[in-house]
Amino acid sequence: MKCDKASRWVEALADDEVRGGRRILLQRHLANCPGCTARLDEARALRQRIRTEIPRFAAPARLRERLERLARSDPERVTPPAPAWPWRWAAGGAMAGAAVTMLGFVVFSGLSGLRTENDVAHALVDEHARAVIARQTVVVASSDQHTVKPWLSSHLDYSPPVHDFADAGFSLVGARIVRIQGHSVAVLAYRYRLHAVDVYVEPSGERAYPTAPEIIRGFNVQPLRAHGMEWTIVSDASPDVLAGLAKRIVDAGY
Amino acid sequence: MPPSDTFDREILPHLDGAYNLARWLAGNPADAEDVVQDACVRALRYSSSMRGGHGKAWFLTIMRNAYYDWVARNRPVGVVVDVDELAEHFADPCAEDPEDAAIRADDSRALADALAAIPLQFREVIVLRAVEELSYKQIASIVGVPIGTVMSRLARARAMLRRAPRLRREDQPAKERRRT
Repeated sequence: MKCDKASRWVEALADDEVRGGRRILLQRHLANCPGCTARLDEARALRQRIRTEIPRFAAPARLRERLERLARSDPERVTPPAPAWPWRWAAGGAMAGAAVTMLGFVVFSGLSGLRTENDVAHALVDEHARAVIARQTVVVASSDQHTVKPWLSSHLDYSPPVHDFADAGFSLVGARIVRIQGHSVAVLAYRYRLHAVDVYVEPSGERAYPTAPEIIRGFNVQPLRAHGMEWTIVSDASPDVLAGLAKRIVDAGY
Repeated sequence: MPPSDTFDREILPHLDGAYNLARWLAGNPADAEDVVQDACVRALRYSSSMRGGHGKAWFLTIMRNAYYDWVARNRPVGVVVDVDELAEHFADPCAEDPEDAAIRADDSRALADALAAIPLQFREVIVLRAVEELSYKQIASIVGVPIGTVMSRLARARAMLRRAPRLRREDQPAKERRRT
């Protein structure tokens, strides 16, 4: 073996990746070649340096826990519990059922197209999780609805209603626009205590949206149809909290 | 295989390895977590139609694909490694004498900074080989290139690492240092 060939293999030798006849030939060459031996020593020294000086980052405990929850919740198999009364917040709150109807809710059966609704809900939860983890919850950061609304209108072919509900604990932090299954969807980002609460808004009739609250991969999903829009609230805050926000959105005069 | 089994057998044992790779590729913890979570979701989906025993290379392959998809979605202009965050990592509270630790941190940062700065295709082979200690064959299957390409990328990556730290030292002539 000559130097030009041997020098290509010394790093592999340092990595213990040279076997059989080639290894024997290489070692024979190294015994008589100080240049290649120096290369081998250098390769071993660098290998040692990398081992001791390059940190191996360990997965944070919070990531481990989140993934564990995700694996146990089994997104493909979990079917959302069918509530006897889908608008639990209304039943639990001060409002009577009649008022719910008055406010223009349309409760539809949801039997047809269950799969599509489920896909939309999963896509929204994925988007929410991605945004929260990447800490990219807003593109336009403002608590001023008069800043957020025009920004959204200028980037969409519809104009979603925007309200700050800081008095009820939901502070508007901004908005972003996301692509969900080929549609542009407005996202109003709120903060409730330490929880990120995303409200996805799209005009009704675009496609089948979820109709009942559900839990997907540990996130609570609260759908709402009001003001000619499909609203989907996604957060790790409790279902009551999301129902409270849904009520505020319904009540808000736009 | 039920997802919880897949998670326990195929993902959890390799989670640190996957996170470490994601962390070196993405350059910061938030994005790395994002990518690992995506990889985990994919792995759970794929494995429901497969039998077990995939091994570390299997999950790291999914992780790597998840990362490149993520880059395509989120960072069309390229990824910048957060060097300050890296410094924080080196400021290990368990370190011995503060002065020794400072010198050591400075020395070892040189190599870590160099690794963080080299192009992605070279960075990933170094992390897979030198940090995760995978074989050339495993790396070839994860990256999806022949073993010869793995070897030549490793050689080029190591040449870059050998060169980079030297240029950062104060005792180098100014003319040389400008080239960094």
